[in-house]
Amino acid sequence: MDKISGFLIRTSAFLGKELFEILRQPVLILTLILGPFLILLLFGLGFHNDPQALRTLVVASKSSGLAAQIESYATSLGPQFLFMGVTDDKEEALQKLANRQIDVVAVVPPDAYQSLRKNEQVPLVLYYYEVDPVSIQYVNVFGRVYVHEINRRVLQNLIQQEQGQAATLHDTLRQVRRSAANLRQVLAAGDISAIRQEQQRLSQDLDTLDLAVGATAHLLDSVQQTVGPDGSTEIEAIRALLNHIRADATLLGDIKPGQVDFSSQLKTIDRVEQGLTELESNLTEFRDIQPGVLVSPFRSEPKNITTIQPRPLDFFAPSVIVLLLQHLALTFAALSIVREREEGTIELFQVAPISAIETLLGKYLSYFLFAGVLAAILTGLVIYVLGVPMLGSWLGYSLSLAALLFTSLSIGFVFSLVVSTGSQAIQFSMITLLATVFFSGAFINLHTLQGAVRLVSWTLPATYGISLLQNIMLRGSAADPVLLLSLTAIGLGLFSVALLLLHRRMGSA
Amino acid sequence: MSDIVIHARGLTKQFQHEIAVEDVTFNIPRGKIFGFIGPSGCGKTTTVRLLTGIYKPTAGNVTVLGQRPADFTPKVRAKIGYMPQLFVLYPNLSVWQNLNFAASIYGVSLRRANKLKQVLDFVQLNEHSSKLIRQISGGMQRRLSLAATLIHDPEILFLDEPTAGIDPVLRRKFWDHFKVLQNEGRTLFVSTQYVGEAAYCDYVGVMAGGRLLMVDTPAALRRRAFGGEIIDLRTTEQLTASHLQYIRALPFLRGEVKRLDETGLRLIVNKASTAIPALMACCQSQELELEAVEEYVPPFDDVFVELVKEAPARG
Repeated sequence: MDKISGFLIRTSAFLGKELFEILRQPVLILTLILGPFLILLLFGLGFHNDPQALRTLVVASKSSGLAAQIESYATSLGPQFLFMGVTDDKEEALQKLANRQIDVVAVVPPDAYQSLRKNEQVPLVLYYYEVDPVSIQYVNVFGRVYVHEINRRVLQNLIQQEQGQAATLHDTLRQVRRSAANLRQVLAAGDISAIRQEQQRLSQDLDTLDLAVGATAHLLDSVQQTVGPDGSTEIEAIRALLNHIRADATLLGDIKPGQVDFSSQLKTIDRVEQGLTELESNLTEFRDIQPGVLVSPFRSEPKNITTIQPRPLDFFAPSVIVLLLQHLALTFAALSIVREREEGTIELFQVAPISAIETLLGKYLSYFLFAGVLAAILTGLVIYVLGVPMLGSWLGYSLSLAALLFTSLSIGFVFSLVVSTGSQAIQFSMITLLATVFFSGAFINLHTLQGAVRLVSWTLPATYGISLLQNIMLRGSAADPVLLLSLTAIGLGLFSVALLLLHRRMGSA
Repeated sequence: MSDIVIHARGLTKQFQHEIAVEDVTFNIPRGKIFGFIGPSGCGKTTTVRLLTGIYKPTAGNVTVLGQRPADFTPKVRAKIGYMPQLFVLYPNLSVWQNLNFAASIYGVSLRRANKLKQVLDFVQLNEHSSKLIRQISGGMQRRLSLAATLIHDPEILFLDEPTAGIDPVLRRKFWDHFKVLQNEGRTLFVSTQYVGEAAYCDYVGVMAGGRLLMVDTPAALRRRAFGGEIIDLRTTEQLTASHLQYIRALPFLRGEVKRLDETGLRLIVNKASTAIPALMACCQSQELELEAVEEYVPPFDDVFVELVKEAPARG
């Protein structure tokens, strides 16, 4: 019993001592709580997720048709394209770019038509003046998107013209239908010479129709082959229908001299008229399809299956909580034992009956308690003041933070036992923070890292913490047991290392 | 022999190529104050650290309360108090909190408020108990260090230069405290560079250049330093050459007769208490009128200088 009470008394020595030392620094505490909260608040207020609008100057010959087209599109290309005008002086445009008066110079080649005739794409060169790889990538994407948009507009014009031809086709079709109606009349009257005459006219009109359909139908055919159902395309059906009509029209020419009963011909002309009605309906559908729909048959309609639509602030809040807690716990622990050594207090522990495990546990408990209270306050502010969602269980959240703090403290204590001075401990802590910013997934997605580098990510407690907290808070998932256990296992391993090192340090030298 | 609580034999500590302490041997009986004197850098702190288990000896062996310091059990550690040379408590904590912390690391029961007050009373810091360490003077900090050393009622105290850097009045107070602690039955191992403080000790070890030159009582050390006890003699008239010749020939004198001035002499005798009456009788027989004859107790600084002068240089 004495042994147990002695153990508890000695372990608790640090609980009071460390907490009192921290509480004597109210500015530090205020900074630790208000600092991250204010950063998040400012971020939430100030961050807009809109892509950067690029001031774009177009360089093109005034006589270029494409330049005129681009100018006409410019105002409707979207908010990210800030049209700054057209110039034919490329040097002046590049000078403006170098002076950062504009963001992009788009150069339209003067011989665009010649390139097309040579079966070559026309290069639309975009000049930019960026050093940030993200901005460079953005300009490249911007270029692709806007060239795609220009291509789309060009195609749209072509289709409009095709649809204009489809309108001519309808006139031809109406002519064919009139011929069919006339043939019906003469069949009913039984005038053989008139029948033959009208039948020939019908055949001629059908030839004209055949040509007109052939000229325009391939576009619809292409669209249907790309996006339509498998099997025969609709245009094949139109062609088949036209062939049937033509076959029937030919049959109508098979009149015997002296024939008085034209009932079979009348049935045939019925089929022809029905066929023509059907053909007109199909071609009308094609004509009524908007050119924009034909050029861009698909549009993106993303639907997030999460129950919330997270704001950037929501997404980054777990990362900030984790980063702060890891850095805080690690730094406090890293400074803790090295400071005892620098100030000489470790000599007292070496002589006193306090053991390495009691010292280490006492320090763990005190920092754990302090960081835990800080985490609770910060979480409260983030959720109840900034409105960051908390969809998962508080138990999972608490366990995740507990594992994060434990492992961060373990790393800090190992640092504290391998460094010689407090300055070195701070350096180690700052390097870990830097590594965390780059490799933990806080700001750069882990998928962007190569496999071997990603291993570094998984040595950092923050990587586990961010993943756990984001899933719990924003997806409402349970705490991933694999992540939780892995994080705790790292913490336990480092705890053992720290204990061994402290045991040596507190023994005789 | 069972009363010996600290026993060191051939104790040596070497740091890479530098020998900090070499072949130190001594025994300290229970309930005594053992003064460990020597100049700065002579190996006092290293010896204290060897005795408390902070360092492991390179050679030789040491036992404190029957155990080797490197193998101290918690029970033995609880009987030891250690006051490091420098103040090592926490500046952002109050006097009370620091003392409470020191009590905790020794596992002192949680019902210890009275004990803390008693110890603070002992070092006269009770009225400063709520002050932060950075707000109190250096002397108060040393007293707090002593309080922290005493909080768990240790049997043996290792005090590494407890009076370093504090004023003579406070130093005297510290030694008064040490006497009180000794009277309570504790053993004190006190290192100091103030040689004069050796006079307060029961035994003194004289350290120089990493070696323990000698261990003895303060009086015995004085005798060893000067070859006996010292008597200062002063006459009413000028001493002549024949007077000096007569005195030098006296049988109870040891060593040189030192002339202080025209009427004064400093003599070294075997035992002052018996030599003074004999000397007075001799002077009377020579009709030499005496103004004063008294034993001279030289300051320990002089004793130390003499002892170190005599010590063989380390090879």
